[in-house]
Amino acid sequence: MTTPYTVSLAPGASPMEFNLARILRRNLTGSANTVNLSKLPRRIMISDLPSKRALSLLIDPAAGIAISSATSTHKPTLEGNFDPFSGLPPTFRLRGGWRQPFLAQRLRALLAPNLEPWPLAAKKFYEMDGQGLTDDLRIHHECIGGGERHTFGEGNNEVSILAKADTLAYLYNGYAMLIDEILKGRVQCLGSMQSIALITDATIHQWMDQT
Amino acid sequence: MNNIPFKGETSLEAWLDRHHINRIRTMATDLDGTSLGKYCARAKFLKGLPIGHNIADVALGSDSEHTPHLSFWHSFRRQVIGDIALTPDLDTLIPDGIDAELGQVICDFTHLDGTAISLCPRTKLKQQVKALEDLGLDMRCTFELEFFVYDNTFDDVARKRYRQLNPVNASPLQTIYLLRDSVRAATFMQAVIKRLEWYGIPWEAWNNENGNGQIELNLTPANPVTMADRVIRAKTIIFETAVELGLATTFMAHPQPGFSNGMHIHHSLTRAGESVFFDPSEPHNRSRLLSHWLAGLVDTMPAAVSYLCPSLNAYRRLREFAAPPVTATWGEENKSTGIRLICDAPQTARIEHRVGAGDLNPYLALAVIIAGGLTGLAGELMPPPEFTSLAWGIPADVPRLPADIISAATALAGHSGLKAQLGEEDVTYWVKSRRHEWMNFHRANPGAASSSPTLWEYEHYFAVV
Repeated sequence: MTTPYTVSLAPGASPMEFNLARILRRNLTGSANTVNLSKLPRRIMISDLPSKRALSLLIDPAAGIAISSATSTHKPTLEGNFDPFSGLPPTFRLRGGWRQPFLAQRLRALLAPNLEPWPLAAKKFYEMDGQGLTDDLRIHHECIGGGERHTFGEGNNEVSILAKADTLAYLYNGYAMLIDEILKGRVQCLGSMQSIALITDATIHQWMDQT
Repeated sequence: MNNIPFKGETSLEAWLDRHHINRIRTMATDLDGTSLGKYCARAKFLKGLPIGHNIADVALGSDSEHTPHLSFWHSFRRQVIGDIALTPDLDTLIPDGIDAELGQVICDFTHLDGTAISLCPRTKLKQQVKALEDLGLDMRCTFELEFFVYDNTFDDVARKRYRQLNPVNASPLQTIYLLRDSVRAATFMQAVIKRLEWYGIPWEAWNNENGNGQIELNLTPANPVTMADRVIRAKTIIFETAVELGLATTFMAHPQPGFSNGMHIHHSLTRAGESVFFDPSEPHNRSRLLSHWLAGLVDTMPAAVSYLCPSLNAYRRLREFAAPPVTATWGEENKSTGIRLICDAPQTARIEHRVGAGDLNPYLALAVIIAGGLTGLAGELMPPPEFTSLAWGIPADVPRLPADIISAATALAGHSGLKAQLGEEDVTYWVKSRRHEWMNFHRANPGAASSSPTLWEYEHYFAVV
């Protein structure tokens, strides 16, 4: 039975907190959940090095985790890159982690993203309810370099999405948004403005999913 | 030359000749409340009638940086970027007054065949007014315009990165109604008033408001569409007068520490000219219809916040004991609640909706207020008990209004009654546009947790809203 942990955000939460919440929810409530909150400190301070922003994770072993902003004067437990718009999952290290290998391992299990192979994640993405994707939309995915090609959907409104396997994996696992990936040149996209907007909207919806 | 508007005349060419008008400035209001349009040669303007001239469809589908909304969709848009039209409402055509050869006209965003686009804020308001009229009801309303005036040019303001500006006042304190502060702003306000009167915009009073360099201007009530048109024109006049006098003004909701810019909205309903809010046979003179209308406004208030406080910056204003309301409450002559009811006489019976921020879009703000009232009438809702205490600093278990742009958008997305009344697709598009604004802000400000406005907010809102 899955532990009914909750991950809550404070009012006014930023995208960085939304992104972190998504990772925690997946890791705490997924079928592969091996995280035991009682073996973690009651408070974990996180420092995002590029922005100097500090976040606090308050851990209640019985209930779950509350995420909030913190003042940067607190000594961080973890530091790394938590930029929610980088298109990559967070990277981080435990300060003095070599002295606490078991804690480092538990924190990795808590915060490391759960990635499914992109074809599987893309299939789930297309079939997910509430994404606003129409049945009339046909999406081709092509993996640059790997030669893999997958097609989902039916109908005349066709969109081709071409990217490297890693980029597609991040995109369809909810760690990136199509519009950002297109603007950064990591994804090539061919389709009508409407079709691209619909898929982009759906990737943002998935990225912000707080269920 | 005189300032008689075209409204009521039949020959446009004769009117243009009589006023020596060779150019016409078209003006429409986008989702963010920004005025968009073109300066058109007379021949081009006339040739385009009645549909008007073309404009890129993304004019109605762009963010506060005027970057097209690429990541969500509305059915009015073209499959690739194409054109829509700006259709002039010739009843609003007037001579400019400053530029002797210029005329000005307010427009709606329409399809190229002239049919309405429901997302257009002015069209959205007209739809809600029509729904009200279908019930035999008329609305009169007015806005309290609050704005700051600085003794700096707009260029100077930007060069100083919006800091250490010189507010136009006499006292360094946050005074209100202080005539010595008003005198400092009198030259500017006389120029504003002169142009308001030239444009046929009646006003009632202006005074020094609480913030340093803050002014409040009260306009005379009118029907909703006319009133919203006047608000947009008054804001344009205030901006243009400031530019001419080497000053800067802003309607940005929270441009500096201390008091903020709000835009309170008063409204009353009548049937055949008689107040339907006031009923001497009911307790406290409050009619049954008023109760239902009020209940609708209170019920929809958390969701309506998204339209009434459209920008990220607007939420810096919603603080306890800072003048704006923070709860979905109502009370008679209570200025700390979300709604202040005045119901002491049929002539003055009205509702003051106090949530609106200085940067709101007047068309959408009125539309969401009417929609809220209509949901109350349709469901015959009854309001919660009147709030007779001060509505700030109250126990935490009393729900607060959404305190950020995403919470407000989420509340709106979850209100099925308001979505049905305003149109599901249009409300969904608005919600996504707020999400987009939130993301744009955080992309530019990954460390933004500051208690004071960021440079991003100043650059996006100070001179634009």
